This record gives sequence, C-alpha cells and structure tokens, in this order.
Amino acid sequence: MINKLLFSVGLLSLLVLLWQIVNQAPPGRFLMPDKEKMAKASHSAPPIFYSDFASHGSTHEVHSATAIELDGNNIMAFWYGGTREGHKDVSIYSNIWHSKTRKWGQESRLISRQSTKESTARYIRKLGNPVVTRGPDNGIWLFYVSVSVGGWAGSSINLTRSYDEGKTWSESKRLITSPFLNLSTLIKGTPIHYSDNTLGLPVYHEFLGKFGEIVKLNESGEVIDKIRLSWGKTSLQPIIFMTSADTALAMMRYHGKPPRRILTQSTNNAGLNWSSVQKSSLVNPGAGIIGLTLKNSGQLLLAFNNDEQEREDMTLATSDDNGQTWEIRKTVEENRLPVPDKSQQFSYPWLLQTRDGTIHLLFTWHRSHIKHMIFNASWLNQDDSLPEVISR
Amino acid sequence: MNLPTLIGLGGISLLLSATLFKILISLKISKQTAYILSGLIFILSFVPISGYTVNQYFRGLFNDLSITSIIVLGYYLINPERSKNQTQPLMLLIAIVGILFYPAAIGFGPIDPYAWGYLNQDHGLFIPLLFLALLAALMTMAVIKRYTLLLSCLVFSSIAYQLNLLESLNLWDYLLDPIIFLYAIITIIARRLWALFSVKKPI
Repeated sequence: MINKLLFSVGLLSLLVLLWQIVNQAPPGRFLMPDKEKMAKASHSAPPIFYSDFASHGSTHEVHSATAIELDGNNIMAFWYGGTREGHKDVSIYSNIWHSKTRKWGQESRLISRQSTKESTARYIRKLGNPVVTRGPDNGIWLFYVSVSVGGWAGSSINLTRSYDEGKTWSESKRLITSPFLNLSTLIKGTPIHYSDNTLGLPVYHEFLGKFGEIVKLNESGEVIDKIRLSWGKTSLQPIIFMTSADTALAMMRYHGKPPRRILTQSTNNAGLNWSSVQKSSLVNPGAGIIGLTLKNSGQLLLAFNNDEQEREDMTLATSDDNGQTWEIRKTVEENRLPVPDKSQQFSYPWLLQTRDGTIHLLFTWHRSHIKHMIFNASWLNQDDSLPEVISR
Repeated sequence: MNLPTLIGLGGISLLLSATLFKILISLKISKQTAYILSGLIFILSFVPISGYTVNQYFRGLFNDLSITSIIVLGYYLINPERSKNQTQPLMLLIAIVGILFYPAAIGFGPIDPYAWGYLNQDHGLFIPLLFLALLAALMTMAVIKRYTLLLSCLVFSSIAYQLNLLESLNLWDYLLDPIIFLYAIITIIARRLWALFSVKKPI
C-alpha cells in the first residue's frame, strides 16, 4: 500500500518535471553591447594614456584584480590581499576610482573569511580570486573563491550582490557547481550575458584535471546549467570574446608541455557547443590572460604576458578579424631589472571599457600593488613605440 | 537560517549521529544509550566551538548530503537491524551509477553527465526525457520488487528537487553524493570479501 502510494506520488512528480522541461524557454543568444548607448569617443578622440595604483599597500601582498563601471564612468575594483596568497588573513578589498579627479579613494576590506563563514554556514579556510560583473538584474554581482579544505583544488565559488552601487552587499551564497563535494571550481575570466537574462560565468577546475567550463546562472543567481569547454589536464582560466549574437572565441591559459601558447576555441551556436581546443600563435608562460571586445569597433583586445617563460611583461594585442590574427600593439610594462632578478612580475590582468569608451587595465604589479592603466582606442591603435608610463 | 541551510546542516548532523550510533552498537553499548548519545551529538553539532559549529566545519569539507543519504541515515537510525533486501539493491545501484557518473563528471572526458541534472533542453529534449524515463523505470522496478527504501529515495529526491530544498538546482545532487557512493562501494566490497573468506561449514 505504502509502495503504491509512493510510486503514484513519484510518477506525478516526474510528470510535473516533464511539463516544466517541455515548457522551458529556448536558450538565449549572446547579448552584445548596445552600440547606440556608447559615446562616440574611440578612434577619433586624441590618444590618452596614464597610470596609477588602485591599491595603496595596506596589505603585504595583493593579487587578482577585477573591476566594474559605476555611474559617471567611475570604476570600482576588487582584489584579494593579505600576508601572502593562501594565508588565513586574506580578504577581498575594494576601492573606487573617480573619473573626474582621476584618483582612487582609500581601499577597504569588503569580505573576510569570517563573513563568508557566517553567510554560507560553512568552515572557510582561505579566500581567493574575485570576479565582478553587472548582473541581469542590474545589480553588481561579485563572485569570489573560497577554500574549506586543501589548496586551490578545493575551491568553491561564492556570490554576493549589491543594489546600491557597492555601498552595501548581500550575504554571500555558495554556488553548487560540482558533484564531488562541490570541490574545485575557480574563476578568473569576465562573465558574459545572454539574451534570456542569464549570465555565463567562465570557470575552471583544478582537481585531478585542469579544464574550463561556463556556468550559467539565472536572474536569482542560481546555477542552471554548465557547459564544458575542454577536458584533460592542460587548460584553465577561460576568457570569452563575444563576436556576434551566436559566435564567440574562447581563450585559455595553457598548462602543459612546451611550446607554451594561449589556447583557443570557438562557438557558432551561442556557446552551446565549442570546437576542440587548439594552440594559438600567441606565446604565454601559462599565466592569467584577459580579453575584451571593444564596444564601438568590435576589435578584440587581449592583455597577457608575451613570453614563454616569465611574467616579466604586460602586453596588449588586438585582432580585427575575430581572433584569426593578432597584432601586438603595446608592451605597457616590462622588467627593467637585470637578469636574473625576477622580483618584478606582472600578472593576472583585467580589462574593462566604460561607457565613455575609456579602457581600464588592472593587473598585479610585483604582487605588492594593483596597477591601473587608463587609455583609449586611439592610443591603443596608435603606431608608436613603448609609451612612457606615468606613475603616481 | 533558510530551509536549504537547515537541511544542509541537519544532514551533516545526522551523518555524525549515525556514525556514532554505528560505533556504539558495534561496541555492544545498549541501543537506548546509543540513541541518547547520538541524539546528544546531533544537538551539540549545532553549538559553536571556537566560532564554528561542528556541522559547519564538516559541511565545509563534505558540502550538503543528498536526499538519498539523509533517507538512508534516517532509515538506519530508525531500523538498526536493517533489512538487506532493502539496502543491498540501493547500494548496488548507487555503486554502479557512481562508477559511471563521477569520473566523467569531474573531467575525465568531453561529456559532462552532471550537466544533464539541470534538466534543461539547451541541448535538445532527448537527455532530460531519458533522465526522467530512467527514473520512472527505476521507480517501477522498485515498486514491483518491493524495494521501499530505493523507491523512497527516488520519490523524495524528485520532490525535494522540485521544491529546491537543497542549495543546488541539479537533480544529481538530490539523488547522489560522494559520501553515500563511497559507503556503497565499501559495503559491497566488504560483503564480497566476507563471502569469499568465510569458512563454509561441512554438511
């Protein structure tokens, strides 16, 4: 009797699930930036370039910057800082850059191990990479990594949101992205948006293998799908360049035998399927990269370490043919100390273009500061030698 | 504290209680004392020590248990002399599914079966319909064979999934977790070894 009752309830529940599946909306296409809303500033404007530091040394080490545009072309940046990577005192810090004064404010601690523990109701050992984006609900969505056990292979992702432009933040929620103890999902690349108000978060795994995926989230910040980009042990930290509503280029950091090159693959059905991973012609020591599709021109901009061994430069390359060919445009930082001094390192870049067309590049500068460079497309495409970097 | 958090922490506390109960019973402690001490552990696991509760600590390590695990733990606590007719088919199914599922789900290959658990039609209707058809077939087999425990796990996992009772929106996380998979593998191997090495009495 009990079995028959359970069976009836079970079948009914499956029928409801079936009805829900059949009535789902079709998956969204890529949501391209609205060109009409962009200021016509890029190619015709005089070239600009200047630089500054977003962090001011309140922690011994800083790493992995991410940033988002606020009102008035201001930007808000986030990074993690502490005694050293993996230390229990590592927290997520934030700071705001004001476009009128062209100055950063005072950095402040936003998220700690303790606050993450309280909001996720879990033991938290350390914090890691943050990634920020504008959510489908127009809030600021800040994702960040936390680890409860082991090294970075034990990472999980948390999400906190702000609806008052970064003044106050919601409690963090844990994203469930892996069936195996929810272990090993990390973030670095810029999220992408879909026409059905979902968000695509590029993620990667480091437990047993190293491979990339896109985690799709709905407007409530819940994980509703995963799409595997690669598999195996050699690819991580995917970045996505959307080139049309259906096409995109993905690039990944390579973690395998030489020759060390940036990995690449593509989609022509809005990310539902991806081509197999290929090595590109762009050299890289297996370090973090970041990309941006420029809003006015559609030109692809890539920031990376243009060296097979070291992270001793920060280079910008562009592509005018959706990633078929790349042109090295600028080397904005390079080690000026004599070999073999490796104390100068530049890594983990982040790119952002504000509505006025200005491009912001942030990256880890010797692990001690977050460097911020501001330029426009005119400067980027200007055919000249290494610019004089002006630092505060 | 929202419901998924409460269920997540409660599941971990149940795991700790059932583990203690098993140890106490194997040490020939009376069932009544074992129940009292296990109940005490369940309550104490919600009490903060040095800033963390015990269940928060283990939740950090294990993540949330599946609905299947919670049902099996509850069944074991209510019925310590559990019927092998009920547990063996469930453990066998969990072991088989887990062996096929986990390697692919953690990246050994281009196909990710974990993504199928979101039951969406991004890649067509075939996969989600196949998933539901397999569940219906398993439920039918369970009712014919009178595997009440297996049937309960399938039915309550499906209902809990619809009600979003866990933090995940993936049906796999309601049906299966690595803790019960590991337990299933260990019990199956132990049973085989026991059968292999146990001395048969002469006729």
